[in-house]
Amino acid sequence: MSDITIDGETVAATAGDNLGALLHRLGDARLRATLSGAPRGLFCGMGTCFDCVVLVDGKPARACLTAIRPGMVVERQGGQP
Amino acid sequence: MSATRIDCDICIVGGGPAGLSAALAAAKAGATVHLLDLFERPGGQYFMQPAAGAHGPARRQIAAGGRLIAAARAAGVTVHENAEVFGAYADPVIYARVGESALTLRPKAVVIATGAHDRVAPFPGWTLPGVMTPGAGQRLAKLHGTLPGRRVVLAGCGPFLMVVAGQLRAAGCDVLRVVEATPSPRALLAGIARHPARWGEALRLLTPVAPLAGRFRFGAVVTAAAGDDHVRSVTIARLGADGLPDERARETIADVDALLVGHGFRPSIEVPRLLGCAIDFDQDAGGHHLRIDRATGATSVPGIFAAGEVTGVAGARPALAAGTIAGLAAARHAGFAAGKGDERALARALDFALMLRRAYRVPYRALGRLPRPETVLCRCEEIDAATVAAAHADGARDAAGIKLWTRAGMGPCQGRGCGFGLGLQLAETAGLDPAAFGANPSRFPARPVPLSVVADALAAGEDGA
Amino acid sequence: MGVSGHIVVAGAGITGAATALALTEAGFAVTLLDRAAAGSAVSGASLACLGTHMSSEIELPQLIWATRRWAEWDRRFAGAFHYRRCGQIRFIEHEADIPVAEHWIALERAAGLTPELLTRERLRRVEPALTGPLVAASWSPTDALVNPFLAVRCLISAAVAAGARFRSHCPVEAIDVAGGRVTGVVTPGGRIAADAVVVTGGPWTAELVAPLGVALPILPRKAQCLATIRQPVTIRGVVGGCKSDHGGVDAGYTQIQQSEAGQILFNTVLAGGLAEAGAQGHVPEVDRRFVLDSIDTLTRLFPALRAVELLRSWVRYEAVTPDDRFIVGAVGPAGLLVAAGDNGTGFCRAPVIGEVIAAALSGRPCAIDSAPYDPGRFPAAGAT
Repeated sequence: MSDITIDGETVAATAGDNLGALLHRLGDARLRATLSGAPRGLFCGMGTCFDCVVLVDGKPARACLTAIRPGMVVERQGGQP
Repeated sequence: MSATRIDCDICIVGGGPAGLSAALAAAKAGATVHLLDLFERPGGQYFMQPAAGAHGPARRQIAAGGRLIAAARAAGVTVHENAEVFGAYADPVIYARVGESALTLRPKAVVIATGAHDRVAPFPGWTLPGVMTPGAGQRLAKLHGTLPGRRVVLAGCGPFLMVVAGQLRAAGCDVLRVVEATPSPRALLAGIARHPARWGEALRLLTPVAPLAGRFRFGAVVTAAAGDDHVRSVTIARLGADGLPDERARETIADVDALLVGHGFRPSIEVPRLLGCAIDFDQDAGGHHLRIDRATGATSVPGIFAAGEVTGVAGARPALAAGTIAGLAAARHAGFAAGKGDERALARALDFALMLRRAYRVPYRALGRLPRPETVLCRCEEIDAATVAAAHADGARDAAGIKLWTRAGMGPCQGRGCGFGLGLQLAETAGLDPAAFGANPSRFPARPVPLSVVADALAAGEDGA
Repeated sequence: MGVSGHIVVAGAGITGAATALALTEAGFAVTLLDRAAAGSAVSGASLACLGTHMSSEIELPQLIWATRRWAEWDRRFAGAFHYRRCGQIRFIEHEADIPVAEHWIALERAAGLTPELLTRERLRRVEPALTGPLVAASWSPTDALVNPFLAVRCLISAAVAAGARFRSHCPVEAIDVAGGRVTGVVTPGGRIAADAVVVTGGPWTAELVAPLGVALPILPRKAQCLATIRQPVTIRGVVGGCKSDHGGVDAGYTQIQQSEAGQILFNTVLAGGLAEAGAQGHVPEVDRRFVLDSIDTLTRLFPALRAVELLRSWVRYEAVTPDDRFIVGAVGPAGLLVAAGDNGTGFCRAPVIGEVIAAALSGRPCAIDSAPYDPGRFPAAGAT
C-alpha cells in the first residue's frame, strides 16, 4: 500500500490502481462539485467527458485516466477545467 | 519538458480491435508501425486488458485481445501507451501527449482507429453521481475491480446493455432492471437464427443474462433519475404507439445506487476531423462518422486510412476485418508490397452488424422529449434546456449558433457529450435536422493539453527538427 | 440618398447587426440575412475589444463616438453582452518604442482621452501577472471588452423587437439589378425584393458585389486565436503589443485577455498572412507557426501560465483594406451599399457603421464624419 493525499487527508491506496475508481469508492460515487456546486461522479470513464477532472499535484487531470502514484496529492475541489 | 519525434512508415491512432489488426497487418507487410493508445494497456473497450490478466466471465475475450496484442508486438509494432493524440495535420503529422511529455510522429501513412464513445441523451437527473455510461460501468468492473454500485439499473438501447448486465451480475451487482427501448427481443433472436456461424457467440452473450430475464423491461426508457447528491431512484416509462413515453405507464425503481445509461455509441471523429477527413451522417451508425472506401479504408484525405467504429458503429468483428484491410492499404501507400485483405469477411461481419442495427430501435423522438427546462444539456458548461430554447427562439439554428449564444459545446469535451442530445431535442421541439448537430468541431487541440507540451510537440514536428 | 421601403442587410456579424438595428430604428423595414449562424464568421472569432488606444490616428472622433454608444447600449440592454471597462495595456519591450507610445498618448490626450505611460512598478499594480521582460507599458483605462457572441445576439434581438426580420442559413447568392437600381437579392429559398441592399459580408463582400461591376479592394486575412481552459482571474484587462517603429499591425500584433468565463484568449501574429484568393470558402486549420509564436509570447509575458492547458483554437477570415479602414457607403447601382473592411478591429466601429448607413439611406446628416470610410477613396469601387 502507498499513502496518497486526498483533500488534505492521508489515504491508503495501491500504486498503479485507477484514481477514478478509488475516488468512486471513497465518495460513494461523488467525485467533485462543478462551478455551480452540483455534485458529479464518474460519467464516461474513458477520458471523453471531463466530469472527473481533479487536481493532481496541482494540475488538472481526469481521474479515470490517472494511475495512483505514491505520494500523489489530489484535490477534488477546484479541478474544474 | 521533453519531446520525442519519430519518423516512421505508419502511425495507428487507437489500440482497439481495428487499430491492433491494422498494426499487425502493416507490420507483417514490412512497415515500421507505431501505435498510439490512450490507456495504460491497449485493447480498446472490446479487448480491454485487466492488470490481473484473463479471468472472470470475459476471460475468452480478454485472452483473444491479449493474443492480438502479443502478435502485433511480435511483428514489430511499437505500442505507445498513455498517449493522447491532441493534434493532427495532413502532412501527415500526429501530435500526442504522454503525461507531461510531447510525442510527435511523422509517418508516411496514418490509420485512424479511434473507436467510439457511449452515446447518452440528457434526461432529468443525468448529471447525478452514480449515473454513468455502460462503458464506464464496464471499465470499473472489468479493469478496476470496482462495482459501479450495488443496486444497478441499466438502460438504453443495443446489445451492449446485455453484455454489461451479464458482466455486472457476475461481478456481484444486483441488476434491478435492464430497460431496453426496443419493443421486444424478437427481431434480435430471429436475426441471430439466420446467422448460424454466430450461434456460439450469441450463446456466450445470452447465457450470463438468462438469470436476469425477469428483470428486462422492453419498450421502455428512463425518464428521470432522482436523488439529493447521488442517484437514489429511477423512473422509467413505456413507449407508446407514437414513440413517446406513455405518462400512464410509469414505474419508479427505488433504492438504486447506480444507473448505467447509453443508446449505442458515437464515433470519435475529432482527430480525423482535424485532418480534414470527410464525414457522413447516419443516426443509426452513431451519427457523424468517417466516409471511407470499404475496399481500402481510404478516407477523403490521401494517406489517411480508417477502420472500425470511427467509420460507423458496427462492433468488433467488422473492426478486425476492416483494420486488416486498412493496415495493408496504408502499407501499400507507404511503398510496401502488401495484399488487400479479406473484403468478403468484412462484408459478412457487416451483414451481421446491420442485422443488429435493425433489430434495435433507438427511440430518438422520445429521447428528444426527456429534458425539462432546467435539465442540463451541456455537462461541461452547465447549460440547461431553457437556455438552449431561448437561443433557438432568438434565431440560432445549428450547433454553431447554439454554441456561440449559450456556450453549450464550448467546454473541455468540445461538444462530444452534448451534440447528440442537442440535436435530438431541437429535432423534436423545433423540427431542426439532427445532422446539423453533433459533428464534433474540428478544432486544434482535440483534447486540452498543457501549453508547454503543445509547444514542444509542434517544435519537434518542424522540418529539420 | 433618401430611400424608403424594404432593405436587405446581407451578413449578420456585428457590422450587419448594428446596421440592421440602426436602419430599423430609422424606420425602415429590414431583413437581415446570414449565410450561416449569426456572428459565426469573423465576429464570433473576435476578441471584441472596444478600444480607442493606438488604433487609428485619423478615426479618433469616430472611435470616441463609438465607445460612448457601446456604453449606452450596455445600459440600455442591461448588461446583456457583458460589457467590461477593463482598460487596455500595450506592453513595450524595447526602449526605442517608448517615444512611439508617447506619440499616441499625446494624440489621444489631446482628443480628451486619458491614456498614460506606466513604469514597470505601476504596471505591476495594474496587471500583476504580467511579469515578463518589459521596459514599460502604455495604459488606456477607458477601453473595454464585450462578449462578441452576445453582442451580436443582443443587437439582432433588439432589431427584431423593433420590427426587423432575421434569417440565418440564408446566403445571398446574387443581387438583382434592373434599370440601374437594386431590386432584390437571390437566395436558395427564393428571391427577396428590396429597395436597397447593404452588404455587410466581411471578406465575402467584394465577391458579392463584383458581378455588379464594383471592384472593392478587400482581401481576406486569417484571424486566428487560442483559448486555455478556465483559470482563476489572472489577467485584468486587454494586453496588446505597443505599435512599433519596426512596423504596425502588418508587422505583427499580440492580443491577450481573459474572458468573463475564465479562459485566457491570446494570439500573436508575426507576419501579415493574407490568404490566397478563394480561400474564404472554407474555414482552415490554425497555422502551427502561429500556435508556437502565440504560446511563446503568452508564456514570455505571463510565465506562470506555462502549465495551463490549451483548450481550443479557431480561425476565421477578417476583411483587410489597403488603408486599414472600413469601406462604408453607396457603390455601383442605385440602392447598393457596402459596409466592410473590419481589418480585425470591427467591433468597436460597428455603431459608427450603423449610423453612417442609416444616415445615408435616410438622406439625413450623419452624426459623425463619415469621410474616413468613403468608398470614393478607391475609384474602382464605383462610388455613387
